Amino acid sequence: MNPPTPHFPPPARYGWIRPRWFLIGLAVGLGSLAWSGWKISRTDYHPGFTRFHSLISPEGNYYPTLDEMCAIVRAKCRPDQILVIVGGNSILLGVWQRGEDIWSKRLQELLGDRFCVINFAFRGGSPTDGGAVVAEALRREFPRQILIINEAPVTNVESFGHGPYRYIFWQAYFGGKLMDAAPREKQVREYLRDNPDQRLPVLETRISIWFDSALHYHDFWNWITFKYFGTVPSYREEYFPHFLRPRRVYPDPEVDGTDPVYLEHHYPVSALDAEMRIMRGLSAFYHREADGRWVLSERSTSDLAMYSNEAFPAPLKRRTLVLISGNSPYYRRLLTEGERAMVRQTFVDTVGIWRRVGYPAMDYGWDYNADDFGDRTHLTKLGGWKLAAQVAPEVSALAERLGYFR
Amino acid sequence: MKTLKSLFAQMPPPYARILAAALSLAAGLAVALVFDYLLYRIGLPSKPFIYVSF
Amino acid sequence: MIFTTYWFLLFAIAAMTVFRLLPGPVLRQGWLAVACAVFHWHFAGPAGVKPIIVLMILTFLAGLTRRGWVCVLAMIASVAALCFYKYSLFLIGSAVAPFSAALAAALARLAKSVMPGAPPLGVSFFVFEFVHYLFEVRRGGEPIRNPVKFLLFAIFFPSLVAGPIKRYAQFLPSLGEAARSPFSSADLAEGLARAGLGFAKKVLIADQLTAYIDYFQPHFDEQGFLGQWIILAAIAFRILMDFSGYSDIAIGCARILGIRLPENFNWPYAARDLQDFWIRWHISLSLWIRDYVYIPLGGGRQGWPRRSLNALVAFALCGLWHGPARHFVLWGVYHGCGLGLCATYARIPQLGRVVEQVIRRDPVIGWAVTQLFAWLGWLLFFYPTAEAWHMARQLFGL
Repeated sequence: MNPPTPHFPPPARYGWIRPRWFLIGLAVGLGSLAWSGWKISRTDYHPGFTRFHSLISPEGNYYPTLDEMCAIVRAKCRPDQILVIVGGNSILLGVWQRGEDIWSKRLQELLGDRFCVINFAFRGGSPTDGGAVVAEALRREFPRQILIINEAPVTNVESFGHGPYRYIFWQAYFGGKLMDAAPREKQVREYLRDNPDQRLPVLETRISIWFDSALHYHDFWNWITFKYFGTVPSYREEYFPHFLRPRRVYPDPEVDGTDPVYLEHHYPVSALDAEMRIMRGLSAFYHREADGRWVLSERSTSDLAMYSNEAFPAPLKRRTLVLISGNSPYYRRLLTEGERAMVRQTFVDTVGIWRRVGYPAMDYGWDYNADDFGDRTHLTKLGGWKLAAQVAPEVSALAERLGYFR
Repeated sequence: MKTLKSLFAQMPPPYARILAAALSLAAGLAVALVFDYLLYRIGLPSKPFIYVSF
Repeated sequence: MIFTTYWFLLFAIAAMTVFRLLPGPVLRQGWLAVACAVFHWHFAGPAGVKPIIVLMILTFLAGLTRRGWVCVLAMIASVAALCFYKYSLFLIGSAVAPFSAALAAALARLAKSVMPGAPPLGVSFFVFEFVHYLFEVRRGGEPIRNPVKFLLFAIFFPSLVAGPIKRYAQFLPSLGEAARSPFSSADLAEGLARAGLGFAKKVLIADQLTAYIDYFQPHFDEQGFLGQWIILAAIAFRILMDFSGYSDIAIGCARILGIRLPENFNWPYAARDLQDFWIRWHISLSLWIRDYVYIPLGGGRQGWPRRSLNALVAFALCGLWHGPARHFVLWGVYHGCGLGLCATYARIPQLGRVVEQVIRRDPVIGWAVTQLFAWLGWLLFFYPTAEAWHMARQLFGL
C-alpha cells in the first residue's frame, strides 16, 4: 500500500505550446543573439573614447570585454601609427583629472600623429591588468606597440592580473590569445594550488568564456547596456536610481583636482596617518648600514627581480615602459630626513631592478609640487601634464630603439 | 490561461494552429532572450565589489 | 544560487542530454544517479555529503525493516541531525546562555569544533523528505527496495537544494515513466519554457528588486508614504519571484527529464484569506507541515482552541525551519496567530459575524486584509524584530 498523494495543484500546463515551433524559436533566438554578439564584438561603440571611467568599468558594474577593448583599438589606431596603450592603476587612469584634461590626451598631443595613445588603465588595476592584456592580445595585429604601466615602489607584480580585473586576463588566457609563457603558466598553477577557494570561481570563469565564445552574450548585453538601456544596476550611489538609463549618457564623473572646490579634499587630516604609514612601511623591506645607507633586503631584491622578470613574456619586455609612481611632497615633507632618504632609495632600487631584468623603467614625481598631486599618489591636471612631458620623450626614444620608425 | 484555451477552442482549426505556432515561436524567442541574458548576468557579481576591494 | 552558475548550466545540459540518449530504464536511472551524486558532491563538498550519506543509508535501511519503532528512531536521528547542524548554536544561545554564559560558550565551542563551517547543503530538505518517507512506511506504505531509486529520490538534483519537497509515492512512478519513455519534444519544450520562466523571475525581476531594496531600505525613514509602501511591495515581490523562480527552474529541469515535480506556488498574492494563502505559498512545505506536524498534533479534531494551538505550534516550527533566528520564529508565530484568528474570528460575538458578512459580500476586502497581513509579515521575516516593528509603524505613519 502506498501513501495517499496529497492534493498538490495540477502541474501548470502549457498546452498551447507547439514543441516544434517553440524549439525553432529558441534556436533562431539564440542563433540571432549569438550572431549579433559576434558582430558587436568586432564593433567599436565607444565614440570619442577617453578611458573606462567609473560608470563604464567594473566599479560601476560594467565589465568591458577584451573584444570590446580590442575593437576600440582597431577603430582608433591606424595601421601606420605606433600603438601606445596605457595600463596600470588609477594614477594612469587619471583620477583627479577631467576627461578633457587627462594626461594621456596630453601625451597624445606631445607625441603627435605618428602615435596613437589609448588609456586602458583601471582604478586599483595592476600592471598586468586591462591594457597589458589587450596589448598582448593585439601583438600580431599591432606589432609596433608600446605599453605604459605603473606601480608603486617595491611591489611584486603577478603576471596574470589582479582581483576584479583579472577576468580580462582569463578572457585572453582561456581564449588562447596570449603568448606561451612558462613563468606565467607556473604562477597560474601555483595560484590555483595555494588558493583552493579560487578554483571554483576560475572554473566558473572558464566555463563562462567557453559559453561566451559560442554565444557572445557578454558583448551583446554590454552593447545594450551602453547604448540603449541599463540591464544591470550600477552600485555607484549617485547613479543607482537611474540605472535603466544607458551608460553612454553618463558623463565622465572625474573632477579637476586643481579646482578650488575640491582642494579641501586633497589632503584630508583623516588620511594623514594611513598615508604616512604606507610610506614609512617601505622601511620593512630595508635595513640601514652603519654609514647610513638604506639597503634593500636580499629577499625583497630577489622577489622583486623574480616577479618583475616574470610579469611579462620575455619578447614583450622591451616595449613595456614601467613608471614607478611617486608620492606627493605634502606627505614627503613630513618624513624625517632619514625616512626621506629611505623612500628615495625605494624608487632608485625599484627602477634599477625593473631595468636589470629587461624593461625600460623610470620614476616620476620626486620633483613635483604638492599642487601636482590630488592626494598622496594621484596627479592633478598639472601633475598629469608634467608626467606626459616626462614620458613623451621616453616613448619616442623607445620607439626609436625598437625600430618602429623604420 | 483559461481565456487562451477558450480562444483556441472558439477559433476555426487552421487559425488556431497558426496562432499556436506563432505564440510558440514567440515563446521560444523570449526564452532564448532570457537564457542569453542569464548567461550574461550570472557572470557579473550580484554585490558591488568596489566597497570590499578598495 | 546554485542554478545561476555556469557549472550548473553545463552540468544540466550534459546530464539531460545523456539521460535522453541512453537506451533503457536501467542505464538511464544509473546515469541520473551518477549525475545527481556529482551535482551533490560539487556543491556540498565532502563535509556536506558525508552526513547526508549516513542519514540516507539509515533511512533506506530503516524503511526496509518496515518496523514502526525503527522508523521512529530513524526519524529522530534525522531531526536530531537537522537540529545539530542548523540549530545547535541558536539553541545554545537561546536556551543555555540566559542561565549560564560560561556553559553556553563552552557548548558553542564544542559544537563549532565538530561541525562543518556551514550546515550540509539542503539538509532541511533532506530531513523533510526522509521524515515523510519513514512516516509513510511506518503507516504501512511500501518501502523503496531499489537503492538506486532511493538514491534518486533523496538526491534528485533539480529539487535537492530548495525543493519542491517531493513525496515518494508521486515521484517514483514519474521517474519510472521518464526512464522508460522515448524522447519527448513536448517535455523538452515545456521544461525549457518553465525553466526560462523561472530564470526570468530570478534574474529579470528578483535580482533587480534586490538591488532596489538594498539601495532604498537603509533610507526607509527618508522615503515618503508612497516610497515606503513601494519598498514593502518590492520586498514582497522579491521573495515571491526569487523563490517561485527557483521552484520553476527545478520543475522545468525535472520536466526536461520527463519527471513531474509537485507545484510549489499558485498565485499566493491572489489569496483571499490566510488559509488560502498557505495553500498557495510554498505548497510542498505547507502540506508537509499539515501532514507531519499539524495532523499528528491533533489537527482540527479537538475543537477550535486546540486547533488554534496546533496551528500556532506548527507555524512556529515552520518559521524556525526558515532559519535559526528569533525573528523567523516570530514570523511563524505571527502566521500561526493569523491562521488561528482566520479560523475563529467568526465566533466573536456580533463583530465576528459582521466582519464575516462584509468579507463575504466583498471578497476584495478579504484579499486586501490577507495581503496586508502577509506583506507586513515579510518585514518580520527579513529584518530584526525591532527594525521590522519600526518599519511597520512608519508605514502607518505611527
